[in-house]
Amino acid sequence: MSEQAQTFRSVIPLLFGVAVFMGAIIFTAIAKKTGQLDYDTANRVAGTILGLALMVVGNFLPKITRRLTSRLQNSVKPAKTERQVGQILVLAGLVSAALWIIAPIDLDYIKLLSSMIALSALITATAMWIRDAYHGATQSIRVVGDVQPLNPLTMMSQIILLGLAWASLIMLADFFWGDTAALWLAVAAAFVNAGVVGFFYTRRHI
Amino acid sequence: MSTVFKALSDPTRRRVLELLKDQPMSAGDLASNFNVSKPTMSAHFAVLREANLVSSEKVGKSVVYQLKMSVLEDALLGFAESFGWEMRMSDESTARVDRKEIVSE
Repeated sequence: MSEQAQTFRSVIPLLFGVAVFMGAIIFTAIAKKTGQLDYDTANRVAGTILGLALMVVGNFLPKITRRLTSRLQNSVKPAKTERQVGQILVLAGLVSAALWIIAPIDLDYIKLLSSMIALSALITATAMWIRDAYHGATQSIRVVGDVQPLNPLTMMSQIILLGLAWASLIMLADFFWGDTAALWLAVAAAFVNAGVVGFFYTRRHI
Repeated sequence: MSTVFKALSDPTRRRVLELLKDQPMSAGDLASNFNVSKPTMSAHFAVLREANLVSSEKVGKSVVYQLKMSVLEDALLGFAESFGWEMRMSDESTARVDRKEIVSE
């Protein structure tokens, strides 16, 4: 099997997972609009799904291996970081999903709490990645040719995490400024998505 | 998933995973940590690769292994360590190698 085909094959489960989660969230939204689910339950289901998504991606992250460089030392730190990041995200996802499932009636505070937990875990993860990128950069200046190609799986999981961070932001906006702010953030996300997809699409075909 | 349980049920393989947590290692370096013959060791590596817990890559002349464990599998490894899962090696590849060794000895 060619390397590209292999990479594609390993992306499929992730794509499938994303599709399932998106489908579940859209389904919940439709059910809420048509009145089959009341406001609280819909919120609960959506929040739980987001927590679960965080868990799944976090669980999956350390499994994405990097191409080893000729200097093994360069490969040590990222792998360790990926493992720690995975653990942090799984823990945060577990806590926020559990919060949503066993939330008392006063849902608004759960919204604040779980989105803060998810956001702080994601910010910690980003900080650790930046630390590593800096570490890698200072090393590969000395050894030219050790620069790692961007792994499509890594890229995809980071895009998903970005989406989850945005979802947490929407929840926060909903808590502080109400429905309208959340709606505008969601619209902005849609525009940004369209822009990014369009950008990559045109780049590929030039 | 059953291949993962099988891979985690052997103390040698668990030790290999623990060693790989610190850094990627070549097959030779890994084997030097154990008092086991080379063929047995490579059978262990094969089981780990089969379970998708490690990935191997050629770097220069040696094969280097690196960890490929999800958080869940990592936790399972922890459980296996603390409860000392020990199934008598039922996987055929290892058993076959063992038998060969006995014959050659």
